[in-house]
Amino acid sequence: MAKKIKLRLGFPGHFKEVAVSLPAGDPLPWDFDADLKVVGKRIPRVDGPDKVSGMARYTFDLRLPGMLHAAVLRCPHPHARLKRIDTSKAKAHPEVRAVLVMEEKEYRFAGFEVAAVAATTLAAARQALALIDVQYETLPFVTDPDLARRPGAPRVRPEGNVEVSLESRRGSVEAAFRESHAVVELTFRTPVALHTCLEGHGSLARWEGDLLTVWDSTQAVFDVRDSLARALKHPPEKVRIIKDHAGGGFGSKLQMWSHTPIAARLAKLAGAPVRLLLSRHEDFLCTGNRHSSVQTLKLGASQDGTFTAISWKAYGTGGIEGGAETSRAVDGLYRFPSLEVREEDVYTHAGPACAMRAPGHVQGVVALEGAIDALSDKLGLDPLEVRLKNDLSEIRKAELKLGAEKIGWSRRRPSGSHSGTRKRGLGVAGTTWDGSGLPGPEVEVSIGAEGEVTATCGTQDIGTGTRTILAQVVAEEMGITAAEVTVRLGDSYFPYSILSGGSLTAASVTPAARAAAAQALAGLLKLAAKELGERVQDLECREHQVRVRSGDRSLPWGHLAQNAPSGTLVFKAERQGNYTGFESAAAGCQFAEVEVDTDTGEVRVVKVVAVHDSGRILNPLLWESQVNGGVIQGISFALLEQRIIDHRYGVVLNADMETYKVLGALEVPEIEIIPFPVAAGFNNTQAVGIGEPAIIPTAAAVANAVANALGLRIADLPITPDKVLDALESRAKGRR
Amino acid sequence: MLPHMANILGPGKIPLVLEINGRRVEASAVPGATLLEILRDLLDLTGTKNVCGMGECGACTIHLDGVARYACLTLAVEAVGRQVTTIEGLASTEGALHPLQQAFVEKDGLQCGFCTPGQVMAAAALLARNPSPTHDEIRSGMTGNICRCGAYPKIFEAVAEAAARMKSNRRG
Repeated sequence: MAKKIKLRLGFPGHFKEVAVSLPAGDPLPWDFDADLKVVGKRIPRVDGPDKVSGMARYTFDLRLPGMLHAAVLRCPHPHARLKRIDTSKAKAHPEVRAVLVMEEKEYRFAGFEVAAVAATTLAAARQALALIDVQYETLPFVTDPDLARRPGAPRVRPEGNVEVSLESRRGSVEAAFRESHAVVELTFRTPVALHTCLEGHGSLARWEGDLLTVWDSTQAVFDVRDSLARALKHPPEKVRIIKDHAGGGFGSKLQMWSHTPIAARLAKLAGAPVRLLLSRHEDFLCTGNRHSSVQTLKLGASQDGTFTAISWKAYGTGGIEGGAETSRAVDGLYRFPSLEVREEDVYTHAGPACAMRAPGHVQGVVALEGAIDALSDKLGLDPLEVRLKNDLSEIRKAELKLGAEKIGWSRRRPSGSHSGTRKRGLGVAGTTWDGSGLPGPEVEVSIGAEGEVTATCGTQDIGTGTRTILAQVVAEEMGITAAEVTVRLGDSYFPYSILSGGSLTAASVTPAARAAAAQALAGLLKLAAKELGERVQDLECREHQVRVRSGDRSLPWGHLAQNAPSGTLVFKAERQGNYTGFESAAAGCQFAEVEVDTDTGEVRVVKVVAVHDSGRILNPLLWESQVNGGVIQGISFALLEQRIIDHRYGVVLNADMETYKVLGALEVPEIEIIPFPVAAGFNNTQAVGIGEPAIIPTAAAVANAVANALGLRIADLPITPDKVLDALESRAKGRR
Repeated sequence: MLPHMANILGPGKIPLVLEINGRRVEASAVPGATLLEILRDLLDLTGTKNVCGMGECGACTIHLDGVARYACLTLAVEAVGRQVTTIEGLASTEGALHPLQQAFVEKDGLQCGFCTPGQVMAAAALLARNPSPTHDEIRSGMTGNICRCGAYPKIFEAVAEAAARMKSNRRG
């Protein structure tokens, strides 16, 4: 039975009592001021020693006895059909053990898999690929989304290349624009970006009878299990997916990619374990990307800066996949009385897009926040004041004021008023993201014969610190230290969990861990009461013992576990549904200061102030790392990253880490992180995710700062020196 | 010209005698084998990571006679007669952590951890040639190593912290 309780939610100065219905069996949420001993502390990540010493084994580091190595033959053409394939020479190679030709015979991007080989060495597998005699019938293709939208463009899908993905209206934007004091209209472009997780995609597959075990570099062991079972028409309970450590993901490992069933099928054919690790080149072509966008925003406001209406028309390409939305945040940041949104997915013969850290939001916020600055300039108003006037969130308004103080917003000069060749500028942008978590994950807490505590869950730690925060939450509840909790995760044979993405993990998994730990304590007390002949309320748990409050009798946890039939006490709890929160999503904002060299066109980010709330911050040390990472990836997206396709040939030109640039040590600015704790509600730990919020506003704030510095806007990301110089030159010509 | 040049012409495998983490290791590999391949595939020293394979990311950073090198761009034969140190051999005693490794853990100079062995090895080589680097020297000393998770600010903190501790250890 759910229990009705009242919670104090909000933040200092803005607390309110909220009536919530606490799900049955769920511990009472920790209050904002709760005196916690382990949670909220700067505890180094528990797997740190293994990672710094090279002992942590990632999927790419695993080997099995008798293991074969696989390589994949990929279509070099952006669009082709298989005419003829002869694998007999490859099969005859002395080191080859299995050859597989894919069922799909139409290849829709350069890099599409055609056939695969397993051999005793990787070198032999690659040699064997060259022995496959394949002839393609090349077909018309289109990789440029602007061309793909035209009538008569080569078709990527039978239904056509353009699909309206999102359409909504509220009020009359036409009337609202007519009545607005000022209206701006701008078109923004953002490129296709690549996740570039340093551990790429790979699977190691082994069959033992009909049991298939796959060690996979994934963010979602259960999702991969289900997809693989479907692909192989094999029962899911006979498929086990294991992922111990993962070298990043950023969304690119949330789904099963084709290399996983290829490895499984080759292993079956060869009767030996098969390891298929994609090369960096393959990884960049085939395992997802951030979709591009072309967004035309029209924004109106009254004289005092109150928004009247927004029109958001956008299209983008995710290659052979859809999902190219950008406007998801339109109703999460600012109040728009009238609104019109129309978004299109444009299909092209290019590698598929997938989720990438805050998909759509990063691109959309660049456009929205850019339009707001342009409108503010037109009205002659401070863009910060305009935001404060229209912001929907009490949290974010407080954060904006705090951040403005930290960056020194009062120093901000009107756009374009800077003299000299090194121009400084300031910019700001906000974020909204629902990281309040999902129900479903289960955590098992067990107590062994030595009193040792283990938390087990099929969730994943992709570098965010899931292992550590689970240990902390269980330790807190049980009155022990985080080091005394062993956490096991990343295995589909463990209790169920959801994928690790979308800033979901902390808020979805830690409440289940806490509930399981609470159950474990209650169970220990009950067992001890029976054995000691005492009442439960006269006992307490301390230091791995159950003690009688008055007196010196006690029983060690291990003793109680030894009495259990299996020698281990096991308690399991499931994450219940969300209850009411203070606000519906996490807020947050970032301020950027940049310096633009007008001689070279180079943009240097000098400083970023990142103010973020994410409910209860479980571990500030790891939380700061998440924020640093978001900011750094955001700057990288703003200034450097772009996948480049030669549209004449339909092939990617920079599918390697030399020519696909990501931000490095020298370009990292000073990052000042301001945590903004909020009693957020939602669940019993009141944790809310921070992964996506940390990246959402960065590129927008940087682009706005550049516009402030130059007095002109580079609305086409990345803001590379050539674009800056071109824009300055055009302006100079226009003035002459 | 390397003294054993006559033996490295191939095309088949050639014998190699290497000194890795203070141990003599005998291996046999094709002349074109990289040191990275030997470490990971033959010796199962997988702390040294293979990411870009072209000397762009630094995840495979090791020491050759105490100097940082990318193992993916180093032929195994180049390492003959020289001392190879990998992340597994950085700490002076087995099972213990080097002050840099300790500082990376404490300051959280890592997230997913995949670039971390390379970062630590690059930092160790930096401190060997410059025991008291300034903040800017740390940044430029670490430019050969990409961290996609964006742990840089805490990596810089970790290197500075380790430098300070190693200095006081030497004094003490």
